[in-house]
Amino acid sequence: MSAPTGLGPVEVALVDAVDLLARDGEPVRCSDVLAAVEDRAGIGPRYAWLVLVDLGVAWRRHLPLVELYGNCGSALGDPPAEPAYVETRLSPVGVLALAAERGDIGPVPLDLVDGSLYRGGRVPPFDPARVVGALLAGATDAGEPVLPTGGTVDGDLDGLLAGRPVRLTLGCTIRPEGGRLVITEVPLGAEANRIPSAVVDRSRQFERDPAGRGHHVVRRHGSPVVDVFDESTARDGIRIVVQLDPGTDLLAARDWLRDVWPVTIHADCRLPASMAERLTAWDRRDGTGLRALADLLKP
Amino acid sequence: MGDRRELLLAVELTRLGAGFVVVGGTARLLRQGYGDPHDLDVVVADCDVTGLVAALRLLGATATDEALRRCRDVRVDTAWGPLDVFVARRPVALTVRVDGVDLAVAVERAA
Repeated sequence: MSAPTGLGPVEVALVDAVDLLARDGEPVRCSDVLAAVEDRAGIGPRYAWLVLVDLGVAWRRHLPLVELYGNCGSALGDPPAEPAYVETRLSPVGVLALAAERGDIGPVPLDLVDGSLYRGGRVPPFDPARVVGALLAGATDAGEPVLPTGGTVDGDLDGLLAGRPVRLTLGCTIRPEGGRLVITEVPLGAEANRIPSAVVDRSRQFERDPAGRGHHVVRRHGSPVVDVFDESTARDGIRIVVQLDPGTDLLAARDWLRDVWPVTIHADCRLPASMAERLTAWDRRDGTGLRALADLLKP
Repeated sequence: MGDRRELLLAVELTRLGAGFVVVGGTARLLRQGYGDPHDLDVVVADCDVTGLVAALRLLGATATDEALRRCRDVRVDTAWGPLDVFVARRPVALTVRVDGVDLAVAVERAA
């Protein structure tokens, strides 16, 4: 990992290529960026495209490094368009990251904020303002993990912050709405597209007739679910409505819903050191990178 | 223990006629009563693949005989969580009853 930012070599190569091609700030075709990365770093476009999308979408990272224009997929799990149909340029954070990589400013704590969970690693993300605030204040606490997607994070959080390996439980945000439950946020790593069918799968079962022939569908014992509607849109985000039996205990129904995969998923996580140690040992050098990031995060 | 979704999945598949042996963390949980598996691992004999696939389809999961036989180690996503299927010779197993269903659970290998 790169010391000034904590980014991986493929990520640095992509950010560098975006800067090379979009020097004047005008977006360039992602396919051109991928071709440049293949020429300069030998990383094939098929692999690099996945990484570039991860670096640019707000449901993977708190601090996207590039801006993407076009269909870059969705938090629901929809795939992006082909790279020739999407354009990109550096985000303000990407500009800072590249400056830090080139030694023009001090390190920027991107690894402390976004961790590695967004790319399938074991380090969960934290709230950017809390991390930057802790570093500026010399504090040893930046709070608990916060996912860019929203959703809940539970488990042995004290153990995680102490640097021990833990299994975190990542869950959807579920709100009562009238007599229904509505899922509005799906945690990093879970595909929202799968949720409606999974809820239906858990709430029905097949039974054979007395002669053992054929199957018919019946409600599964204990299921409070009458129906599921996916009202998610690109504009309004995730909204999966779970219609319940009239008079259902909403807390019990929410517990039932949380047991459905992937309404709740697990992630094996471990920080490279305790959070206090990561914050105190982080090398800020002259502090210019940290202060520049703090300025960007100001509302 | 019986309300864990890995166990519920094993029970559902068995009720639907699938023949398999539970292995891995869920097997340890069933044998020894401790552990925190986050998925269900099962070994299925080649002759039982079709039955397992039929049961999985009834649970809404996508699986095919061909893929299981070709790839041997396959992850299948279900509403009860991920299921890791290993197509291999059935390991030695004991029977553990969960929710009135007899599950075949692999015996721990001697060190």
